[in-house]
Amino acid sequence: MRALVPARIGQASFLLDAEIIHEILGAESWLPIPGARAEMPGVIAWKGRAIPVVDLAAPFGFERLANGETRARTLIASVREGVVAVPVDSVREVHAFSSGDLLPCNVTNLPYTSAEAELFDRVFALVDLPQFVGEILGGTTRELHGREGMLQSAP
Amino acid sequence: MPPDVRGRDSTLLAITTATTTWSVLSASVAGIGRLSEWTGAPPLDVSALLGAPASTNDSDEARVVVLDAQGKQLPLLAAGSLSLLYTTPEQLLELPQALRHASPFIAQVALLDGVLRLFVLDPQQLLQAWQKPQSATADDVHHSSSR
Repeated sequence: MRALVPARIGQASFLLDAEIIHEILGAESWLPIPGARAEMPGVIAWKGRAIPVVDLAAPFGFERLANGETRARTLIASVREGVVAVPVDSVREVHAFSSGDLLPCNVTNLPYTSAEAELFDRVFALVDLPQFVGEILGGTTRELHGREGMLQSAP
Repeated sequence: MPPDVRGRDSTLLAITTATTTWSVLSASVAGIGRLSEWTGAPPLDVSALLGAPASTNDSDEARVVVLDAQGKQLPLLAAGSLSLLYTTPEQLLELPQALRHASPFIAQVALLDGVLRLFVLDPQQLLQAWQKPQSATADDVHHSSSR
């Protein structure tokens, strides 16, 4: 079984591995860093240090975090390069999925996803956050322009 | 070398403009004067460096903050309100490595009233930024005069 955390940004419902999630906080104010990429636009304070904010709305093609804007929940997640904060609109309780529950992406069409699963009568895409952050830092993130409208609605 | 304040309380000279707030360690400030009375080299527009609109120099409030950076006098344009902030080491957080390339001028971010509010700038990086355009200008003059 694989423990996954369902979350949502805009119309995008997605899953993240629960094992990389340290904490789920409320709305956290963040400081934009000049010159930073849309995918990693600033920092928040967490446990006495500044950690990068990762905006998944950027690759998903949704409205990106504007300066001063927050989302209702903030996921604190571990990736290979360190700890990052992922603001999201909502989070649900952790669910366990069997390997048979996770299917190749068919309904969803989000980047950085490896599978999808049905939950709450919706289809959630399983997002590979470590891969996304790795590509941001490696400067190899996929082209972000023109992604609007690529998400297909869940049935 | 900039003063090493790690592990100690420190005072920041903060400049708040309409769009951004930046600061430098007050220990590295050699002087502050009115821009209208400044006769030295053109000061570095820090707000523009931080991606904000270039400062307008016609304000009566505009000041020049002179930093002592590696033994050199570095003039910074401060077109905003100036204030002193007393901070503890816990309030000054290092900018994550992942974001340093985006803003090499920012050494730390400061936590005020529990919220990250302002940038603490690195005098050495500012000095490099100030010297670059001057070098380029000197090169341009050299090339144009040798034509």
